Amino acid sequence: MSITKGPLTGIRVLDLTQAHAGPFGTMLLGDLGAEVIKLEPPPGELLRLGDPKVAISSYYFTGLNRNKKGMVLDLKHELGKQAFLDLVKKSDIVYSNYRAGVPERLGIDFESLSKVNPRIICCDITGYGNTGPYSGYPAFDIIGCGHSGILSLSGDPETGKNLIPGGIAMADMMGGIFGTMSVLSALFKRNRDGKGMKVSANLLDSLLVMQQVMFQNYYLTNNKPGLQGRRHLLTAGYGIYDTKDGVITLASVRHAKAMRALGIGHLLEDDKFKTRTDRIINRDELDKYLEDIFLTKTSDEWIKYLRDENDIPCGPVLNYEDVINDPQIIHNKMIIEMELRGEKYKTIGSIFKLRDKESKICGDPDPPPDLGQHTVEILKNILHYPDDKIKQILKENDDSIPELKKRLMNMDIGDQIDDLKETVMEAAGATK
Amino acid sequence: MAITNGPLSGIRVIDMSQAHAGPFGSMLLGDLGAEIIKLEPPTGDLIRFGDPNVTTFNYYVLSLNRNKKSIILDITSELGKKAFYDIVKKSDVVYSNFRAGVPKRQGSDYETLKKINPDIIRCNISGYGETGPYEAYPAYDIIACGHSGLLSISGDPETNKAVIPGGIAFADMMGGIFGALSILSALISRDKDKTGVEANVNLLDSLVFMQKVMFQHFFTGGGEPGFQGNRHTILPTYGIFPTKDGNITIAPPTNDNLLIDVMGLGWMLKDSKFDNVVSRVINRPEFTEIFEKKMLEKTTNEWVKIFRDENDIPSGPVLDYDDIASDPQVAHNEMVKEMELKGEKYKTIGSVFKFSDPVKGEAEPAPDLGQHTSEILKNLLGYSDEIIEKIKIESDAAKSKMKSYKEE
Repeated sequence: MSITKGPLTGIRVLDLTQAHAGPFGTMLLGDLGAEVIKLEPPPGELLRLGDPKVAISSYYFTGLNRNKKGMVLDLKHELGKQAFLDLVKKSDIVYSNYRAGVPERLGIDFESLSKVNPRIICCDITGYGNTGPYSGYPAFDIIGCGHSGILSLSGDPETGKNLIPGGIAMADMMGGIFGTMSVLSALFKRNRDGKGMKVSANLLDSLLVMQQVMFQNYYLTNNKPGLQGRRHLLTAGYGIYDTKDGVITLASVRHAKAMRALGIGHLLEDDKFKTRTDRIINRDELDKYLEDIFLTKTSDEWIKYLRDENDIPCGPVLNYEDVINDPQIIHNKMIIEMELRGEKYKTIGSIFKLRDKESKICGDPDPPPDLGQHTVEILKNILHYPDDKIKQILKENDDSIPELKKRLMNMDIGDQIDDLKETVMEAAGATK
Repeated sequence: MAITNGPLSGIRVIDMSQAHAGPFGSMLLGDLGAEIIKLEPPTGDLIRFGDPNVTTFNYYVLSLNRNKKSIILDITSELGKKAFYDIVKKSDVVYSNFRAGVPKRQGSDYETLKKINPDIIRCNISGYGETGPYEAYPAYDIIACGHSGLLSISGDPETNKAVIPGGIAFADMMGGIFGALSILSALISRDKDKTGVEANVNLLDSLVFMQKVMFQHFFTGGGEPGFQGNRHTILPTYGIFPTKDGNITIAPPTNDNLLIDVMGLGWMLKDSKFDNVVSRVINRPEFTEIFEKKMLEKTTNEWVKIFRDENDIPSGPVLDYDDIASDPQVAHNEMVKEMELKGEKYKTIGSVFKFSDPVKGEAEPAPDLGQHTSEILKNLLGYSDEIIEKIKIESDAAKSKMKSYKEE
């Protein structure tokens, strides 16, 4: 059963995105109740392949494409292009994450589409921006990370090693999120003044904004922040600490109280640790005391003593097994069960908790679509195409597969192609 | 000069948030043209360190509070609370990042506010959620990182050590962003349904959500992901690699034969141990050793020129903050802006929002504590000078009683 009521109910999104950034952004729109039509070229999105799978869908595709209808159209063919433009007339948003310049080449840029539908909002996500010296370069998540300066913070100063920020595809997701924020603000405005708009996000700018505070410090002090490791640039006694049996997190904002609770209250008499400012200036020295103390008890003992008994902000470092069994995460309904082709699977729930008198978002999300699952339904019910035209489009799609597949996969390794395809796609599918 | 024509022009937000999560989210709304009234207690946002002027650690205040007006109100006092409710009547959104339960105690929860203004949108950002077994626990950025599983993947498998995700306050920022996103969607639905909305978010859920794909892998039998380090779990040529003079990022196309060839390792493509993607995965340790050694032969710029510029292979440098300051694409995107505060010019990161109908006007710098108190009480609420004076006296009296952050 689909989401039947949400803040974006009645809004139709044509989703041309692939891989991570765009699909994550459009999934947010679907979680808010929009109707998202995922338009794929005939061979389908590359990330449909790969293991492990839920029924026939790779974990990667499953993770990013719930609540979407699947439609196959070949925009390079006349009929496919015409069907797309007919859909634009009946839609609110066109969302893509092509490299800069591609929408213009395909004739699906804002200039062209706003002639078809002046109310349309076009959102594109690129690596570096639509214009500028690097706009033509290819960019994926890790490249956005490297170019934005975040890799110069993300890592361990002791080994000097740069690490993938958070271990996730941060650039991709931030691009999708800021794209979707832009779409929502444009939609709000358009609903009031009737005018469509082009909005853009790119991975580079998205990560720069995420470093707002760090850059401000740099601009005021001229000191490069460097690898941040396990501690906080600003606060003393903040970060990840080793305990007798593992690690805990500590954000001792009410610090004098924390120091007393930790048995180093006498340091508050010392000029070096008297005020917050003193403690920040001398935080390396203070940290040595803290590091020794934390080694004397287990993580659970510290959390019970500090957090539960003394209300000092600290907590455990959980792994995935812990997270899915955590009572607060279960209470927050962040883990939901869905079903795809009769196979039940778990997934992460919606981030949006909106409610008015009753409930703002009703219904359950749908699982990700099979390739082209809704093509006929959309051509028939939204565009009211006659059966013979629909048949022609389906034939066009079939004809396009061999040529497009070759180009998409760019693999010239002869007979091994079928054996390798799965492994390669698996690898591509695991892109963090 | 303020921003005059953003998509949220005409929307007024009462921003009760402090520190990082909330102020970042409300700054995004301000970048979109909303009017942000930063309502501070007499001692100010705790990040001001009890200092009425932005001084000691002003980079925090400066970077998160542009485009905001500051009003001081002691909402525990009668007059202060009445002024707060009077502003609620004339506003669209009330935004905060209090611990769960605090809004209700202080009378700023949705149930109370909707009686004053049925159209109000109320968003609170908490650590763990408004209800549930951990609702009452204190939570800051790093604590949510630990609780969400993120610290079990953010780190180095070789040293087995977790590091702060991305070296930034990621949980705070995601809470602020999802709060702002929830508000945007509520603004859209309010235009349609003519009714206010409660739209809460929390740091824990925000980070669990950001690991959606990783969790899907786990749910689908992939096992604990563990520390992700600086390489790809499967693709041996994806990740961050040391060069002669620094580091390079590579996200090779599906088939990385071209990459291997242009590196000067063409011989590998004729060796059955390395001649295709599968064999390279099977012989990964041996392959990686050769690949890494080769990468040390040239500088980052030399490799980027060969990979990216000449062969269109997705690749790029690992820049530090000095490099960013002089990067032509960053400059082209207008991501470094110059602003002015009390005659002093300073640089800051610009708005992430890019519209075909560009936002006009310039962002205002972060306000001093209470800079706009009189202006708002007078112009927005039409209060008399006498009442305004009384409110100020009340605030000053409260301030001396409140424990300032600096002294704590």
